[in-house]
Amino acid sequence: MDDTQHQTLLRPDDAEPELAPFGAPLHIAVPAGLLDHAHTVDREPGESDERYQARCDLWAAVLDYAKRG
Amino acid sequence: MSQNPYCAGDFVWTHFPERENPARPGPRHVGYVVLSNSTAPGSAVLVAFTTSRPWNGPRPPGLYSIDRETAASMGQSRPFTLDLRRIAPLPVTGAWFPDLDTPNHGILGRAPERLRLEYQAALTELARRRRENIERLGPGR
Repeated sequence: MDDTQHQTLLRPDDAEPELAPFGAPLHIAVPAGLLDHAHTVDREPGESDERYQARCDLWAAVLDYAKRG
Repeated sequence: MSQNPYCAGDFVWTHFPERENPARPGPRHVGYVVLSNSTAPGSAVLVAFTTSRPWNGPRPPGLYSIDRETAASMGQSRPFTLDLRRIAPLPVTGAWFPDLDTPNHGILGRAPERLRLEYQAALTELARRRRENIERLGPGR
């Protein structure tokens, strides 16, 4: 959502980027400097093993994609 | 370097990268935090794209149309679309989060725990099952 909707709607809705069509690939933007940041996932207080593992798996998958190319 | 104030489930002001320039901060935009790896300085968060554009037709996996009532419960002023098919892992810095150093850090609302877990599971499924169908944009360094 763009900035304007919380202000005065200076921009029309059609100024928002188009949504990718049905069947579009998962699109991962990899910012400059990303890989200098955050290679581990901290456990949250009281978090179960299952939930923690799920977060670790997702983070690892995303970083894996980020490192390619 | 700032602490990371963002938690999974937060809607927050970001400079979500544009498709045409994925390595650089884009225009000011509301993003959805799918995952935050740490509260420590030097952290990063995984942000998904949102838009007020509606989705018409069959809904692809990873795309959610949020109605007005649900949007209001998340701190949003009108219906919107959450697109987990378009994500960016972003360093928690002022370059990517323009309101990082303000009192509320640019956090506009939060998804309920039930939806937070649903969105995380949906993105995990996309990443696991559709590895052959992932478009990576940007240098990464």
